Amino acid sequence: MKKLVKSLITLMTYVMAFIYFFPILWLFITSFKQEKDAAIIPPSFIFSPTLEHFHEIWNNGVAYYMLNSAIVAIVSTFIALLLGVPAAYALAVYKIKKSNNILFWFISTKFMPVAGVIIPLYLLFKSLDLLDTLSVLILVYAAMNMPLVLWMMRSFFKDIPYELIEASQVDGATGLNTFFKITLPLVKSGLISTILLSMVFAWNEFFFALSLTYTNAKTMPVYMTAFMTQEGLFWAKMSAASVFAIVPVLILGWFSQKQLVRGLTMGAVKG
Amino acid sequence: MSGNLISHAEKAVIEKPRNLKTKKPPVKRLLYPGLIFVALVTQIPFIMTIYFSLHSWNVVRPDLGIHFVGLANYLHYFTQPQFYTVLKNTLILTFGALILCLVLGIIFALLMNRQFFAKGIVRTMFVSPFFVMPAVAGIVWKTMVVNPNYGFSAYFGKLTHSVPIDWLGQHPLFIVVLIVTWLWTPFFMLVLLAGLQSLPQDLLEAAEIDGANKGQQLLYIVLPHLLNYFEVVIMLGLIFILQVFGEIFVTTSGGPGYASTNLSYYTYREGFQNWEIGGASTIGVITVILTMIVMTFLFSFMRRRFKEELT
Amino acid sequence: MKGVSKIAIMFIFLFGVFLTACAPSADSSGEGKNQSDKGGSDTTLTIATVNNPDMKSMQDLTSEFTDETGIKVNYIVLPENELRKKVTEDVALGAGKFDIATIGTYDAPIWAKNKWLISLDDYFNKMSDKEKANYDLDDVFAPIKNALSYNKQLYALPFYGESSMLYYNKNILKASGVAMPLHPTWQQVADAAVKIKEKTGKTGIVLRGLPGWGEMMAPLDTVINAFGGKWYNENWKAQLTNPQTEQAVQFYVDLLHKAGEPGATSTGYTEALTLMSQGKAGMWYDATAGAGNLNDKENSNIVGKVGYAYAPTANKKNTGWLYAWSLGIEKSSKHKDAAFKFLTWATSKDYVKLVGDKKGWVVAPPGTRKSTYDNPDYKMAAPFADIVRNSLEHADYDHPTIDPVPYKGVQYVEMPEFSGLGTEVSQQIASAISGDTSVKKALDSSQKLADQSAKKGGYRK
Repeated sequence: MKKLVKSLITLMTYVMAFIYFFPILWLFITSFKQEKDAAIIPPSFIFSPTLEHFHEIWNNGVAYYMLNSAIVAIVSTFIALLLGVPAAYALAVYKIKKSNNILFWFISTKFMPVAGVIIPLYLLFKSLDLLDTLSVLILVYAAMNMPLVLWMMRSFFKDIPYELIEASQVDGATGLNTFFKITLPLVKSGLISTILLSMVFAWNEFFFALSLTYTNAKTMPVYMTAFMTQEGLFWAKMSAASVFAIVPVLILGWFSQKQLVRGLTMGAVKG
Repeated sequence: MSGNLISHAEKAVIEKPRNLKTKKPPVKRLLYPGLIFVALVTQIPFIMTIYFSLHSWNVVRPDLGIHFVGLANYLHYFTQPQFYTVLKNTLILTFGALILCLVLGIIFALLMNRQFFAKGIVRTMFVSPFFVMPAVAGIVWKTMVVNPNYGFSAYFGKLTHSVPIDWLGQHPLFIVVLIVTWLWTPFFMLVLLAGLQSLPQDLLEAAEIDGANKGQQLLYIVLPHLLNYFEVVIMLGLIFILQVFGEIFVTTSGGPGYASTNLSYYTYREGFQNWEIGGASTIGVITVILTMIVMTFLFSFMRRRFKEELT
Repeated sequence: MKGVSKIAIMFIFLFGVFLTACAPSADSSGEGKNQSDKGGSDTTLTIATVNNPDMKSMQDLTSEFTDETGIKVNYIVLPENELRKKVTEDVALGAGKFDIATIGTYDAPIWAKNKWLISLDDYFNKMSDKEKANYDLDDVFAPIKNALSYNKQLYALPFYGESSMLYYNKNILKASGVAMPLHPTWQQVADAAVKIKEKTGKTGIVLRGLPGWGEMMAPLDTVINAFGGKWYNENWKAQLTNPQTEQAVQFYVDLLHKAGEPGATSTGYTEALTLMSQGKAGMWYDATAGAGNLNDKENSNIVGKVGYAYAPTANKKNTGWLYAWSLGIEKSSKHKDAAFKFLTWATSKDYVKLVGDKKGWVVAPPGTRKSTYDNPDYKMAAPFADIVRNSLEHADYDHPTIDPVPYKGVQYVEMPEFSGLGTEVSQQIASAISGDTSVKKALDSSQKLADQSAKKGGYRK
């Protein structure tokens, strides 16, 4: 009986996942259709596939924008981690006065709608002559994601039983060493989740990228807009461009999930 | 067992002075760099925005110049009926999507917390909408799912011989809520799943030995442990959903009328459609103030109610 | 010590990344970046443009320009709304990163007034007689030149022009027993649409309902003009609730309800084109640009079954709209001479011929020059050419309405506030289309908005 229930739940999981994923699956399928077929009513699964859209987009230089997006995502996440993880640790482990206020202040930096702050940012970076550079996006995204890193890592740090940290220190390890060798591995799964989220936000961010870049620092989302309101039929091409945009992040997600397993072992404490 | 895990802070006080932990917290080294960086990049523009909100500046009418108008902009918006429609929409959209995401998120997280065949692929399938650009997601839904002429909803409608519903025209906010939920549930799922996985197995085993069934385990052990993560996901999720813009941009353009405009989109409408920078800045500042009020209440409510578990 | 060295390494890494990020990016095969290996000057023009098929052709053929002049061209391609936003941002806030901007007839006078563009008259005067004859400015349609001028000076050159017309599916009309004259009235069109719906169950006519001053408002404005309505009277008092305007809007909304496409409020130009080219509708009233697509085997299922008619009329004749995408030179450009060379190249007779030869005459840039329409190759490839030419030559840009009005513009009101006002009003009307409110109420709200704009903009004292 128990086995039957288990199998049923698993089956339900498969069904739910498929429905949830379906629009994306459709996006993938459409990218292989010719434009005429992509607009057919009712939607059909039968068609003669083509790779022409992928060729066209690749030859158009999409690799350059993907590279820009990748650099910006990686470096900004790195900075956000560099600044956020220690801060998260401090707020989680030490009794700091007004830590609630600090936490709240960080999240309040995200209250302003992007459209409201874009002109000031534009003017600010214009005066610093940083427009259309990757640095400007890196700076903005790092500031955008750092509160995320802070809030998430703080939760994960809070979950570490104090005994583990203490136990290692009895063996004479220094603070920083303890941190890297013991503490960090314990929050590995949380850290991976945080990194993944931060990279995705940076990769998909559109408004700042559109306003603050021109040609040199153009990222994928801005490139994608070129496909969105073209005159004429364009859904197959847009789907193909979307595939270019989604696949790297999907691959990243796929590989990182090996780390997203039960990380915390209590063996050390019990013994 | 959970009672034995004393908070770190208390431990720090009890422990004999032997290691770094009992010195003053190295706040400067750990906290200040992040604080200063974020402050510089966010607060300077914020002050500029406040400045602009006190002026009248229409970008396409440079001949009118930039004037100081004091609080006239604020007064203008508070006396517009559409402002209150926008507020209402923001509340419905934000809390509606939040609740849906929470419910779906915890369900998916619980489902994924088991072992079964092809678990990796399934997880990727659940998470994939999150990786899609909001604008692309909007287009996929608009043209593929809900389009009354050639979308899937029309297809199913034809099968059941009913008139295709013009979802985006009749129920625009509802569709936006659906799209936002679809996009953001994976975020909730990921965080809650990480929380579930950090739950020590032996806690559950001990409870099982004591005779608790799965339901009781869920209620009395799992959910309380997750409170920390719930707080994170609600606070962050709320902020992200509040800011939702791209989805509205490509599907309904905030319409018909103002039916699907939220505060974030309203800021865009004023600033980049009507080219009123002063107006957009005003809406932005109002948004920040309103959000602060709501979040302060939420934050302190959660802290007070669940004080024990959260600190 | 170990900790310190770790931090040091991180800083060096960061610094290195920072430097790479700051350094000018290497020239990869970015879209439209054209390299000439024939020496020449090292001027590079940056041009902001829309992503329509004509612009795509231009990008593809730019290598010819670079070969000829040694000037390189960098394209920034964006959808129309984003483009307008980005270029406005660039000129208004003074960054000046664009040399050439693609602007519409709507933008040109506004930008000229704001001193964001330079007048081209001086450059034309400096041309040699031979160059002038070659370019032949007189060949360009007068209404378009007019629309691109301010204070009698020309500020931009058109590379694409359009008016509006009626398309119909010959088969569907035949099956419904409907005939379509060459110069229909709106009442005839409405009756035909209803009959099509009754007889075949298909959508009678596709009309844009997507909110936007450049989406729904464009065809709707021509209907308002046709029925004798207007936006403002001579004293800049809003006229959206006057009987003719209301009659026009009511007509449009009713037609959509009775025989229009489902999901009208999400139907913009692209969606409408899709519906028509898939054979799902009997008629479609929209830009003449659609003609090329409807005749393209790659994209359309109704090639060979398309009928054409002039923009429907009512109390007023000549209701077809006027729009042109053109190139203008930004005031802050540091390469004005080179920019002017590009402008004249991309809008010349030779360029039209170049596209016709290399890409096919059916996609030659339409609507800018009389000579294009005299060309037998073009006429053969485009059976709709005469309608487009006549519509363009007779477009009433200066006097779009029956009564005198203080503004110009057929499918829009030539004022900077209109991109905002027109969109807001179209949102109100979209509410009426979706049934949330009545046309009367929508127009009442719109009236208030229009009066506000007139007051705030200083038009009405």
